[in-house]
Amino acid sequence: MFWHIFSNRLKCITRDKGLIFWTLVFPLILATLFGMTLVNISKQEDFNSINIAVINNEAYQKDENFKSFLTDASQGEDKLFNITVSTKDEAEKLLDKGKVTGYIIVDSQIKLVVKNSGLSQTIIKSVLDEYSQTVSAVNSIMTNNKAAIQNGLLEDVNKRREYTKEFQLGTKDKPDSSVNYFYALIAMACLYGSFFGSKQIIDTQADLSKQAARQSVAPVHKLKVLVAGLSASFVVLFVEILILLSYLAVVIGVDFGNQIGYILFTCFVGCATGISFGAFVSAIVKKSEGVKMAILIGSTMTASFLAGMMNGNMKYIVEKNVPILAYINPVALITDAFYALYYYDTHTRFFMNIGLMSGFTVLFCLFTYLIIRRQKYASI
Amino acid sequence: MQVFKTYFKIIKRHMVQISIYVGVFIALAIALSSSAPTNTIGDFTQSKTRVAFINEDESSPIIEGFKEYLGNHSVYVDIPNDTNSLQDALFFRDVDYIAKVPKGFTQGIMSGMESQIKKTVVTGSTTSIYTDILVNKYFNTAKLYVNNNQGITQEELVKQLAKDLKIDTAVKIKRAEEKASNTGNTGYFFNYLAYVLISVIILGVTSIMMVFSNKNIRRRNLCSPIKNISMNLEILLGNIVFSIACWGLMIICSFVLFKEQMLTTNALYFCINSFIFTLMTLSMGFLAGIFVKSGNAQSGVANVLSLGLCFISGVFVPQEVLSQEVLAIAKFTPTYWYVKANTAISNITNFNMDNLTPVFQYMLTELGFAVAILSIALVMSKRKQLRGN
Repeated sequence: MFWHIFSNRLKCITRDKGLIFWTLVFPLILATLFGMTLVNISKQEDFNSINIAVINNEAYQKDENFKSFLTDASQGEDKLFNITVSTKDEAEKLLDKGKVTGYIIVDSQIKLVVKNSGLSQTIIKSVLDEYSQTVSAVNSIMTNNKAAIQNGLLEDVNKRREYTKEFQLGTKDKPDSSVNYFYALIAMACLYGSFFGSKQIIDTQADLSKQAARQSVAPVHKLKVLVAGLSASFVVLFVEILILLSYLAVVIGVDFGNQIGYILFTCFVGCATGISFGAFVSAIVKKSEGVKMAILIGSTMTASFLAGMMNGNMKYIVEKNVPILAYINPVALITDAFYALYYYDTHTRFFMNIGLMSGFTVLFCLFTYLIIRRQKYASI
Repeated sequence: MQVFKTYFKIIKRHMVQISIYVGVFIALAIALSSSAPTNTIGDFTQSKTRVAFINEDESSPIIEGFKEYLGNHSVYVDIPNDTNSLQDALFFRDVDYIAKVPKGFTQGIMSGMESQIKKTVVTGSTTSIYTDILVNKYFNTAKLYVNNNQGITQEELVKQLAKDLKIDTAVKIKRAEEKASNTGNTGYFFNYLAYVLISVIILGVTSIMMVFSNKNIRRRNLCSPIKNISMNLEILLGNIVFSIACWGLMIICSFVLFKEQMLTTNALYFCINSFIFTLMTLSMGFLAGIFVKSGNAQSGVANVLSLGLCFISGVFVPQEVLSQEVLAIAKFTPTYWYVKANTAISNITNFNMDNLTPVFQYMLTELGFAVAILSIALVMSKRKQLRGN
């Protein structure tokens, strides 16, 4: 009997085009849109050598120290600048066209001309500052200690040391914050599985649909009907999530880290949470199907917003300011589980998320069953 | 005007759904205008990176001096010193640079030995490179003093460094003679308007069309003593009034939100552009209405069209950030030209024919889309009628 109900529920679900659209096609479309637009965002913070121009005047040609200082800064693999030496008019044109970020005039002092303020402009200024500052330091050392110049002060100036050492936290040296959008999207798709759960309850509760009324007459235990139906929903949703996951990983190229087993496990638990949430809401809200759907869509979208689907930093803002909201939001929990797998080298946070999700799932199932068991109707 | 009145009865029924979209949009617009990117007009301002500074060494004058120096060029962020909090902060870019001063650092610096600050950054990011420059500058200059001024005390060293590192390069900002236009965030607002107009107008128009094209209602209407043409005209009039009302509502919102920024010539062109876009959306809704038969399909079409068009054509994510391939596809959508027109309008300071020509071209392109979509819709509806549906 279980398999009979199971296979028939499977057919019912897969033939419901609206349901399949919202749980599979819509997330896929969103994934494509995210993929198309977010691809360049993380590249924006990468440093590219800054294009600058230097005015070729007499002062510049005479100032060997400054020349070699600039050459140093524009050589090597991680060079700061690409330098064009040009006349003032050319430099102006380059600046106007945006081919260079700024140009340098060597006069009695070094001057920088830029078009607007910004990080690249600040870097140029900071490097130019360094030159004048070092000159000032050398001068004040010389006034105190005239012998310094013989004792290798200038060599010392050129022997620059690296005073920072990279110390990586977690598994990535370049954590890409845009992955959070995609994680939240999968989490949203899992929670859209609540439509399946809701449909199952509507089709099981005799007062909600004719089909359910017919089914209730059959001599089958209610629990069996419910379990078979929810299992069918789960199978469909899990397959959909796997399709979404592989689409994201293979076509869009989202980085999920490499712990495939754990990733699938997260999807598994996420699907269960989604379906049981839908069943719970549908059981507890004794209103029309439209109202149930509105509540499910509204809560899922709010939860997705708080998990960072519309604005990546929202998840962090919530965690920092209202941590409790992050612990009770299933979308945030699923997102966070993916995030922990992507970035953390420990599994504590991951298992905490999975534990909470499982807890919610059990609670939702339990309440659902308690609400719908042993209901009798005088008339429907 | 019976049909016309019925039209608005149906709209009233869908008011909740429509006001949700309008509400969401207004919330978005307010959020946007409050997080205004400040205009960079005026003197040169140095950018600052967000740094978390953690000292694991004892507190010493040189570290304090360094902290003060770095603080002048960065914003310090307080993050608890545990791995997870630091990781979270870096991932969401709450900090750009985590600097940990290791034990024995002061001693290393004062004895001229190799000592390094442990940094955690997004490798290769511009912000990390800027902060590296600052750190290296401070300690390389310190090294000069330590190596060539034997016996210098930490206090003296810090004083010297503060003096040297105060030296500034003069920076001049070159500007075109005209002053920049004063559109502020109105440009963003009008870009986002595309999203709400598409959602609301498609939802509204398809709701009506669904009702009137219902087979039974249609048959009933056809045997009423109203000319078919006048019925269609009244529906069309209803559609136009509804769309223009949506547009008008949004324009009122923009006046409430931006006030004096709306009293510029730029804003006038924004309004014209969005009006033309409204017409385009109307014909789009008309086309969608021919195909849509159920509420589910309706919200599907409205969501996919509004999100899809807005994502790829630069409403949500600026066009400069989008890749060339995406933009190539986006050129086949009217939203792309709408956003382009808005961008052009917000950059205009001098309203001469030279500057306005591209704007008019973009608007004409939008109108072209409107006409094209409307003609497809008319052909489709005629065909449908002939088939007897």
